[in-house]
Formats: sequence, C-alpha cells, structure tokens
Amino acid sequence: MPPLDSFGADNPTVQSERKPDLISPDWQEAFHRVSLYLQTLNVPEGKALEFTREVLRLASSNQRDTAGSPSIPEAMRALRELLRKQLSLLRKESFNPQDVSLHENLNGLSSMPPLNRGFMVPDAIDLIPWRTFLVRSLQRAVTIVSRPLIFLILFIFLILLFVLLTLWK
Amino acid sequence: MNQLFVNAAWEKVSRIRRIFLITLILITTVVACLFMSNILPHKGSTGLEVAMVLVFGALFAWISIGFWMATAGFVTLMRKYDRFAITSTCLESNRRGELSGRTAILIPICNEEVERVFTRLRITYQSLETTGKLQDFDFFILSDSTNPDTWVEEEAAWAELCQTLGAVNRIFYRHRRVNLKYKSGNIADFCRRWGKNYHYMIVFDADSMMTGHSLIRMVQVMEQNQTVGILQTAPLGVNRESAIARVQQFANHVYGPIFGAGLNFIQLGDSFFWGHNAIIRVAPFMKHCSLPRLSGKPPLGGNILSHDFVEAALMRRAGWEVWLAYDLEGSYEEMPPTLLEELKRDRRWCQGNIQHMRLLFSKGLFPAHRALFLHGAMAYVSALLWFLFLSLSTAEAIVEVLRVPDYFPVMRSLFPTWPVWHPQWALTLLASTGIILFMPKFLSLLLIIFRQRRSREFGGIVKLFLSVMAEIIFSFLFAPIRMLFHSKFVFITLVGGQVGWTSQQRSEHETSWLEAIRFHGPGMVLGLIWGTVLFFINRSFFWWNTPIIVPLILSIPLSVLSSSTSLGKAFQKIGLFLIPEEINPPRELHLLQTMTQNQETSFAPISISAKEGFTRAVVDPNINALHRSLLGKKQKLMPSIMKRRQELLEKALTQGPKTLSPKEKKELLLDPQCLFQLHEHLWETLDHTIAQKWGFPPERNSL
Repeated sequence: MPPLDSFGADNPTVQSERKPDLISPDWQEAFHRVSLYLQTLNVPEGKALEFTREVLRLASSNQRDTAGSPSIPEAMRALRELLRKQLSLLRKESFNPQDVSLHENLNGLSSMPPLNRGFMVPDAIDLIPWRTFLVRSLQRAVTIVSRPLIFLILFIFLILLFVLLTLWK
Repeated sequence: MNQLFVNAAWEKVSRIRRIFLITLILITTVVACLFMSNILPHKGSTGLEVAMVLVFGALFAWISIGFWMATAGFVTLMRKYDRFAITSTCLESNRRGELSGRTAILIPICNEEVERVFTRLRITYQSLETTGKLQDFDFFILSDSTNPDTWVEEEAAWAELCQTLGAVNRIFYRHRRVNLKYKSGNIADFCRRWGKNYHYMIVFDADSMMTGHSLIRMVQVMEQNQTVGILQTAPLGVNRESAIARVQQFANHVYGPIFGAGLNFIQLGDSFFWGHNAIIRVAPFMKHCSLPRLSGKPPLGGNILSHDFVEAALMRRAGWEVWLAYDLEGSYEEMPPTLLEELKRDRRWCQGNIQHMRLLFSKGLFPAHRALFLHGAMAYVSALLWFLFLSLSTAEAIVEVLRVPDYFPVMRSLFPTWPVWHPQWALTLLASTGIILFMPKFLSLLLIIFRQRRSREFGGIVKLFLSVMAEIIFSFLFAPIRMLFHSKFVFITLVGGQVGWTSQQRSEHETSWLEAIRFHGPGMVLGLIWGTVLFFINRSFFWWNTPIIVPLILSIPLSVLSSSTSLGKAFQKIGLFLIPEEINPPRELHLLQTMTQNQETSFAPISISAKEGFTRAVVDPNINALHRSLLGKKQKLMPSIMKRRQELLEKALTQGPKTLSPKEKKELLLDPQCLFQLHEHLWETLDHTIAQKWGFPPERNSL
C-alpha cells in the first residue's frame, strides 16, 4: 500500500481538498483500518487506494456533521456505506471477484438445495429379541410336546433315561 | 417379499457353501480340541482343563474362519473367474451408456481436519469431471462438527471450493446443530430432506477417496442389478507414512484381495456394509433402514453405534441384496496413523459390535446377518477369550508346580500313574495353529508372484517376501498389545462403561513417550508381573509364553517407535512395505499428495490461522457475511437469551476471542445479529490491544 503522502497525488482536485487534520495520527489509523478491510475483501491495491480516499473524504465530512466522533468508527461507517453503493461496480472490474461478490451477494445464498421432504420411520424391530426368542422357543416346544404321539415318545424316552441313570454305577 | 427377489441363483449356492464352511471349521476345531486335551496334564479331565479346552475351541474356530475364507478366496482368484462377482454383471456395452439415476455423494464429517476432507472432495470432484458424467452427481458435506472453529472453517472451505471449481449447486454443505444419532442420524437427516431427489447415494468417510471411474462403475452395477440395495467396495489403505500404518496398508494390499474374494465366496448377496465407500439405493434405504433406539441405557442400549451392520441386515431383511465388489479398483481410505489412534477407534467399534448381540435374535433377519453380528462381536470378544485362555493356562501351570503329584490316584493299583507330557504334541498343535494363522499370508504371496505376476508393483519378489516376513513379525509383536486393550474394551462395555463419540485424529502425528506410558503402562506392568511369576515358578511355561510376555513389556517403546514417520520413511527407502500406489500412483493420489503439501495455514492480510474459525468469522468480512447468510433467517429469541448473548458480545469485545469457551463461541456463531455487531464494533474499535487480540496487525505509527 503506498504511503498516505501520495494520497491524491495524481488527483489535483483531491489534493486541493485535503485538509491538514486528515494526516493526523487519528486519520492515519483510520486510513490503515480502511485499507486493511479492503485488503481482506481482496480489492486490488489501486482500486483500494481510490476507495480509501473516497471513504476518508466522506468520513471527514460526516465527522464535521457529527461534531467530532473518533475517526476510525467514522471511517468504517463511511466505508460500509460506500461498499453498499459501489460493490456492484467493483464486481464488474477485472480482478478476481470471488471475495467481493461473496460479500455482496450473500443475502439468499444457500449451501443446500431446496427441501424435498421424505419420511424415514424405523421398521418394526424387536428391541428385546432375546426374551422374544426364549418365549417363542418355549411356545414352540409346548406346541410340539402337546401332540399325543410326540408326548408319548418323549415320555418313553424319559422313562428310559431314568432307568439308565438308576442302573448307572 | 416382492417378485423381484424370488429365487436368486446365488442363494442356493451360498447355502451349500456356508454348510461346507461350517463343516470344515467344526472338523478342524474338534481335531484341535482333542489334541489340546491330550496335551494337558490331566487329559482334560479337571474343571480347569475343561474350561481351557472350551476357550481354546472357541478361539480355534474363530481363526479357522479366517483361514478357510482366505483359502476360498485364494482358489477363486487362482481361477481368475468368479461367476458370482457382482462387477462381472456390468457388461462392457452397458458401461458406455448414460446413467439413468442421479447419485448423491455424502461426506458425513464431525470435527475432522477440514483441509484434508476438502482436498479429497476436490480430487474426487475433478476425477468425476474427467469422466464427463459429473452432471449425474451431487456432493453433500454433512457436518456434525461441534467445534465452532471447525464449523466456520468448513463453511469457508466449502465456499472457496464452490468458487474455484464453479460447483455452486453441485457441492452442498449442511451443518446440523444437534448431532442426533451420530453418523447414521446425519445420513438419515439427508435422506429425509433430499433423499427423494436421488436414486443412489455413495457414502464416504472423512478419509475416503474414490476415482471418478469407480464411482461411475458402482452406479452402473446398481443400474444393472435392480435387486441390489447396497454395494460395498473394498477400500485400499494408502497415503500413510508412519511405520505401523505403512505395515497395515501393505497388509491390506497384499492379503486384502484373498480375504475379499473369500468373503464374497461365502456371503454372496448377504454381504457386509462397512459404512463408507459404498453405494446405497436410496428408496429402500429410506423405507427399511431407519434405525430404532434400543431400549435401556448405553453401552448396550440407546443409539445403535455400529449402524452399518444393522443397516445391511435391515436391507437384506426387506429382500434387497448386499454385495461386496471386492475387485473394484479406485476405492481408497487411510489407516489410523498410530497404534493408539487405532485402539481409540476399536474402542468405539467394540461397543457398537457388542451392542449388536441384542439384535442377534431379531425376527426376520437372515441367518447370514446374524452370523455377521456374531462375527463382529467376536472380533473383540476373541481377545477376551484369549486373555482368559492365557489366565487359565497360567493357573494350570502354577497349580501343577505347587501341587504334590498323586502317583496312585486309584486305590490298590499295582503301578504308579506318571504325569507324562508330550512336547511333540504341543509342537504339532502350535505348528497347526501357526499354519491356520499364517497360511493366508503365504497364499497371498503365491498369488501375487505366480498368478497375478504383480510382485514388481510391490518392489520385486525379494522385497515383497521380506515385507511379508517383517509384517508377520510386526503382527506377532502387536497382537498381545491389541489383545490386552480389546479385552479391556470388552470388559468395560460389559460392565456398563461407554465411550464418547470423538473424532479420530487422522493426520500424521507421532505418539509421545508420555502418552505411551499413560496408555501402555498398566499393560507393561502386567507383563512384567506375569513374566516374573512364571519365570520363578514354572520356567518351561515361561519360555512358551515369551512371544506374548515380551511384546507386553516392550509395549511402550513399540507404540512410540511404530508411530514414527521417519521409521516409516526409512522402510520405504529400503523398499519394505511398498504398495502399488507408491510405485505408480494413480492421478488422484498424486494430486492429493501435491495438494496436501501446498496447503496454506493462514489468510492474508490478517494473520489469523485457518484453524481459528471463530476469529475469522468475526474479523473477515467475507467469512462473517458467509456465515451469517448460511445461518438463515434470524429467529425470535427470549429476552434472557438475548441478554446473555449481549453479555458474551461484550466479553468478546473487551477480552478477546481466547477468553471465550467453545460453548460461548458457538452461541455467538448461532446469532447472526450478534456476529454482525461484533464484526462492526471490532473494526471500529480504537483499542489497539483488543484489535491485536483479534489478529489485527500491530499499530503502524508512520505512514
């Protein structure tokens, strides 16, 4: 960023309008703050300088109207005002419009497509399957055992088992 | 069940193959158990020995599954023809046609390293672009990040990516404020909002990457096979530098294919879903795969953690097939960089897999998926069984030394009963266990060298052979350490301890000595005590157990050294653990490496690190505007909340960002009005100290 001394050097009108208090430390800080802000917006150096000049001019006139509020807040307010007006112009410039366009066009920017709602409901799933399994197995066993023929076979088997165990040494 | 699913040819074949596999496992296990009981001093007649034989049987059955599966895979790959390979259904003529369905690529993330995620996304996007079929795909970054800095960083990265790739309305970003049901909830949230717009979704992990061709191929396979609900690829580990991760990715490349082919041989359409690098048919997924909340409290109740297994089982229950495309190339992931990171991940998986036991007998599930639930749980429970086996055998060894031998156990017998031990039988059993464990590795080696003739891709026959040998040593050394941790995880889960859901640290970093002492210290002490007791009481048993005791004692240096990237690079330099992607990297991986090296860490002109997302959201006009815009419409707030936020704003303005807690930062980030005020006030501030705290350059006195 060129020094503030060169501020308006190529512009006789601006040079003639320059007031002594504009290069006071207070305004120097305001100059840096505005420049920094424009840098974060990726505004090219030349364009940023032009913009800064405009901002400081606007800020100094505003300061006179508001009876001497500090220069940095005044400059930043002027910058925001000016950005609102001029960003569309800046965007048309040849420099990378990525940041500035982003800053300007954010109202309505969405990172998601329009909603197309659907449903996703869990299918019926047994949450205590162990118990269900045991109950089911028991029910099945009861059903099987309650058949006469199977009951008879089981009865004979149990008697045989009992006899075998009794005779076992 | 729909007519679409009736009488699939593979179902009958799979039944026969599974019965065959179970028979083989049972035979080998019974034989091994008989051998084991014969080796024991009392021939398996005491209670302790019965317990030992039972535990040994369970463990032997577990390792036999891997062996027989690998053998099946080896045979399949040797034949070079698999009539049930799902990719073979996609004919060459069908590959040239247009895709009929739209696909969403989902990248669910939670406090991940932003630049890594977005670099992978960028490469995948560009790779897809080169195929000319980008218009059929949309990308969704689904963030569950709770860290406010990461949240802003993600937004900024998304905006930057959209601008540079011209991908507005192609790459989308969503941040969930409440991360209900973790990753599965995140994907379900996507499905509810936009699922109806897509036929398929491809799920990525934060470290996943796939080539455009493989993405297209997956969609083509799905279009060709209308009964497939989930198609899982077998991702290959790449890109790692630390020693342990390089060993893992080498093993993944060398042994992975035969295990993949073996899995497919047995499971066919009843396969796994690993939660990432897979394509899913959206409509049936939405209809059947929503996960319920299990009754009771965590760890065994609550949200289902390892959702992927359950989703596959539910998909299958509804009749849709789940296949493993084991031979599909171009699917990558990254291994955990250190042993500790791997163990942290295992801690979560362990809890999730054990939780599946509650669903084991759920009505309607296919037997194969019940077996997969059991298999998943056994992956960790087997460690506890091994630990139990070692404890029992140690107890037996000590008891045998301390007890006075009874030479006449039967009254009035003429001859004494001598305690006889047959070391040759023990050696035979040890050798057969070794064969079961290591044969798959040698089969893989044979396959690569003689059948596929790809040894050059691994650095040549000699280097490949040496790498396999070194890998065996590595797995020998790390197995007891993993066993101890997994046993602990299972035990903690069973007694009701639970894990949080923190993100993995995926970038390369080394384990510090202090960290290693903290984690491995108890294991080392246990190894020392166990070794000392055995050394003094039963010396011969001590020597048998040195392969387990020594790694436990050395666990601290092993953990630190294995995390070393310089050791990993040294291995690479001498040609050990080389993988084809290192010798001849595909374009995508090459790009990834270049981009990762050239990443910026801060943004000009204000020196705020990219990681300080909150500060950037306040200071940088672009990020501030972007974040406010993405927050959407301003909500009406209660006066108490507004008051609290004003106080926070005041605090931020007077004390700087470092004094704010993550919760406070998040609260400010949630309020567009507050954030705008903060931005305005900060840029207007006259206090240079505060300005500097927010990253402004020091005051310049001269112009």
